[in-house]
Amino acid sequence: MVEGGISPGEILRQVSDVAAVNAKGFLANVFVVEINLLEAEVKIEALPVQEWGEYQLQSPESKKEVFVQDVDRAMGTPFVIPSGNPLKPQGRYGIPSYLVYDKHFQAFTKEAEEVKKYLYGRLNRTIAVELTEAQIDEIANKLHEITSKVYKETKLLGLIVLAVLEKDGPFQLHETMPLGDSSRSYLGPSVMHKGKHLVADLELVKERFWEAKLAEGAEMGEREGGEVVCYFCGHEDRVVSSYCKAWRWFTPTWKCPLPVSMKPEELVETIALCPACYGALTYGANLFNKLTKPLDYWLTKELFSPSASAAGKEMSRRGNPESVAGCAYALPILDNFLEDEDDRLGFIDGVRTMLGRKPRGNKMDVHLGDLTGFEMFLPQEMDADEYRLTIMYYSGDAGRGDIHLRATVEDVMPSVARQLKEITGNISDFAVDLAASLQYEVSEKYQGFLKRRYSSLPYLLTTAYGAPYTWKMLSTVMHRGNISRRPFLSNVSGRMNELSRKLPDGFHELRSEVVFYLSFSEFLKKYSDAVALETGNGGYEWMRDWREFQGMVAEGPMNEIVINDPEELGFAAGHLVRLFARQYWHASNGNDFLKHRVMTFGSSLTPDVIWKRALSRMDEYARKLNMKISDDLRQRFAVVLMEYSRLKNETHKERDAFMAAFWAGYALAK
Amino acid sequence: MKLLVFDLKAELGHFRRPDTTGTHATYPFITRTVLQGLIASILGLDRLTGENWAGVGLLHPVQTSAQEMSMLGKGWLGEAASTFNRPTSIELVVRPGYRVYYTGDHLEKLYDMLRKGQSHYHTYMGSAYCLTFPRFVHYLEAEELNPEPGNELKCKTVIPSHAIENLIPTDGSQYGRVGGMHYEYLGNRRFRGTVNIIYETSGKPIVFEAKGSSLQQKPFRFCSIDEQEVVCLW
Repeated sequence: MVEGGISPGEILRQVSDVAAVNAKGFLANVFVVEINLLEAEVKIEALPVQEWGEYQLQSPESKKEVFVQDVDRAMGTPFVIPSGNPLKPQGRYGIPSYLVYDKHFQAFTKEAEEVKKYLYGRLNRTIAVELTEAQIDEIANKLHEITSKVYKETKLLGLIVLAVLEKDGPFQLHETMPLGDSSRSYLGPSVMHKGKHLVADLELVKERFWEAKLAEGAEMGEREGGEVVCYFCGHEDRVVSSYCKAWRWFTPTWKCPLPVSMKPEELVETIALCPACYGALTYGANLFNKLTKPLDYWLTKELFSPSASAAGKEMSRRGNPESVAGCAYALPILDNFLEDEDDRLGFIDGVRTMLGRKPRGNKMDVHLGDLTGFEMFLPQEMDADEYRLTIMYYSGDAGRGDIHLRATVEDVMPSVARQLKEITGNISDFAVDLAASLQYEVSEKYQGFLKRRYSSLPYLLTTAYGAPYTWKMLSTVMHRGNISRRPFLSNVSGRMNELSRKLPDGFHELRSEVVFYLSFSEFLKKYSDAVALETGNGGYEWMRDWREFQGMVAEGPMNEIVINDPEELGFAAGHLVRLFARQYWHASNGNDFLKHRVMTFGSSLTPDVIWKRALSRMDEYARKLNMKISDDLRQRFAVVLMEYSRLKNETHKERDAFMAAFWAGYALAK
Repeated sequence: MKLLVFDLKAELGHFRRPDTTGTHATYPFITRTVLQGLIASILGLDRLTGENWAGVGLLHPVQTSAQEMSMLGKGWLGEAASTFNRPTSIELVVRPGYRVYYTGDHLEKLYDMLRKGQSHYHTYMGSAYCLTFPRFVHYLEAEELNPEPGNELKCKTVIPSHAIENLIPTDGSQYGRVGGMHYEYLGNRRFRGTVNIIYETSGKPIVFEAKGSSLQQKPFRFCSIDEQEVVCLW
């Protein structure tokens, strides 16, 4: 991409911040100073203040207007929004285009001397621009004059551009405006030569921009000639250190683990890069920053919530967690892949699409936000298994180089990502259907809520396994590993147990847990069938589809009731207990059966308690209250009791599976 | 040729990526320079000199975990004046396990040391707190292979990507890539060159079309050991 894959304008757009949302304000007040060094007598004139963009309605319905920058114009004067103190000059400038903040304006309007100070600080860090003291004085006077006219003590941002016209320089005088010319951008009408126009040559601007970036690397060491070798490509000529302002993960502010015997200015001794590789590093680092997005806020709250406690989860949802950022990129696995021109062009198009973050209306582009938790697209061009996806999560203040890595998931095959995306899509539909079966009526808002959560892989995994295991499980799933069902059952039954103590209040929350239990079980089944390298369910059969199983337990012929494992036994028991509880409620003038007879004195519900106090004493309760229960229900209870005796030992071992399924059967019984 | 085989296993490993300072990211498995340093530690050398060829096979699936580590109040070595003072996240390789194949100038001495379970300096997986104790496995005769370009090989070690013409996916294999690993340690924290590696994330063999052996820059060799198993030395 750096070596001719894309136009200079596009490179400048990608490596600078001219297209960033927070760059708008600067381009609403552009101060161009025309400095003509081409003639014997140097002339300096300031253009009237310009707006590089236009005000547009925020949305068709809104009356509010917002400024939208003209990126094509701004590409001629690329700038980087500083991450440190914005009032101080930072890094190196390839082109004399400097950002102006409100505090600068306040100083500029006081006296020209302040403008001079501002210009000196930046010109010293600008490459290939040489102006005399008298010329800088004159520029400062002009800027003082023009900014004083504009500044009205309201908060203002702006951009100063010193359009130095010189031989072979990036700024030129043209007869016409560069309309439709993608290699040039327009700075404004010349003041000195009426009818002519100030224009930036983007190829030359790009060269200066790279040169400035290289100068940043050279701050931490530079070597030339002799035995210098580029760390990556082996090129022998000129090298600079790998220190790069855009790559915030490598900053000499944090000295550990840089060699103690070496001064920061000697970093070139550890990793030295030739200009081409340094350009590639800067470019890649900028793409990394632009591809980085925050994790969805609702998801971040879930990530930091305890999975074994329902109350803890609820508390976490009200909290204000630290924000987590995510970045995902795709690269070919083999070096020689990009030697083919078609593949190379496909790669370039793919990167463009990932940066665009908008679907092209092409159904083959996959929105992977559901898998990663942050906004991202996997373009069709990068869908082949010659590519591998890398996903990184971190928190902290990246702008200050303070980065706390949380997880990396490397080498994800695009086909696996696509399969997982398909499965989570199905699971969200499954959860909505299930909620409808539980609640009879599910509002559109609640449907949206369920869809968002159940289509999110990080949500499913963190709720099932708990925050400490989220990243590990995410990595395991994306690498098609085998995942255990036991911790998930333990967590979900723990939450259900906690909620059951509040019954009949809190039944809504319990039903939500039932939705999770059955939906995640379905996810595991689908994952195990279609994605995981090792299939199976840890030695026992998957529970049958709940509708099929419920039909068999509730209505099927008595001799065809087959219960395979403790989980199915739990579901059947839950179903029958609920049917009995309904009759009990009527017969006992509104007493909750579980609370009144089974969970007495707030005791916890266990398979044994269900057996002793619910299943085996049903007849006794019925006689006491003079309840008329059908022979059919009585016989179904008897079948479940017999099955309990048969599966007693297994049930003790699989207590969590029994209990989770019990509540599912209980909640779903109709 | 004679080939020495030994295992390295530990609870933790940390093979630092050189381009991260504030946060300490790791390579997914042992790097060439760390392995050479480890062999030098066993032998009691400052660094491994002469001709050395080594291959690395993964015994466990690659798994990493990021942890927040407190570095509060600890002055960094040699910097008494400016104390290093921040919580730092560190990425660790969990339960690393590698089978190492070695041949080269130090073969006999290394064989002798490993057989007796001796080591001159202590040995670790990239960081001093990730101790490992090398375990001798085999000392065997291997046959050098000179594959023609395009020949299909099944290799049980990781392979430099410049040795591969084409990867052949097999059932259940998941090939991964590590880019920009240090190639050569020059001493005094100076390095030269990088190498890109292809590996199978769970340690299964890599099936691929070879580029043919090369003794040019960053050379590699293939050799077969028992049961026609191929290893790549580099």
